[in-house]
Amino acid sequence: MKLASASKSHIFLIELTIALLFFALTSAIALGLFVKASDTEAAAARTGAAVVAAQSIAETAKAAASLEEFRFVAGVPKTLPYPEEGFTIRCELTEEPQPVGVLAALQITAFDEAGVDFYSITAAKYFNGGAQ
Amino acid sequence: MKQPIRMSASVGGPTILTIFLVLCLATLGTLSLVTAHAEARLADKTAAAVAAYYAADARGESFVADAAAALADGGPATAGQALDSREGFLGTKEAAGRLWLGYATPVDEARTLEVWISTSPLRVESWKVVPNDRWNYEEFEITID
Repeated sequence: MKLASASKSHIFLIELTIALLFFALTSAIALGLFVKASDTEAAAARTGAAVVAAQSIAETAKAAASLEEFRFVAGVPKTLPYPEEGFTIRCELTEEPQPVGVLAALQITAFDEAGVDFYSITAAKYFNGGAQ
Repeated sequence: MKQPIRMSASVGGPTILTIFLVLCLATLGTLSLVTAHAEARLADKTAAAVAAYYAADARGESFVADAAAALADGGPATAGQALDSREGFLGTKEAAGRLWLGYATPVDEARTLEVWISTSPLRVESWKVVPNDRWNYEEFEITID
């Protein structure tokens, strides 16, 4: 009777060990899934925040009544850091002279902490003879 | 005779518990990954739509610049002819006693930016995004006998 009980305990211990090993293995795989999901979600949130920030600057620039105002929006400041979201916005202004005015284009680029560009839009506005 | 109390562990219990926990982990992990991918796809689509809109908007501004040049060159009478070869030029129309110049450029597969400017003086009259598929009312016409 005693021998049978000891054998049963051994089997239980072996089973418990195997179950724990299996659980550890699958937990590691599941943890990888959770980490990947978290990274993907963080990247999506960063893209969304960059879109909102870039759109806000673009609309401010497009609302400019004069070329001077457009230049002011484009130039002050040239780079805008968003430390909480983990990206920085850079504005670059180009002015294309036209026969009777100026076509101003503001390129708004978002780049991450590694300096890699991940989103860019160009807001343009034509100023007829300097004012529209 | 009094029976002794046995505290033996049942074989198979830990396996069932482990299988249950592993299934829970796998389900939650997959669900979170699917949700994250859906959110990433939505963010990418939004970003692409915004970028496409501003690209079309810049083309619209470029048309206004060309129209201003054409108007300065030959006045409202010849502006339509001067812009005729331009891609996206919709044509001219008379409204409120002034000549209007139209321009359309695709934003994406489903939307088009439509711009109407009036001449003398040059003024943007309409700047709107319109869907490509218009509602066909005749298709759903109700006939009562």
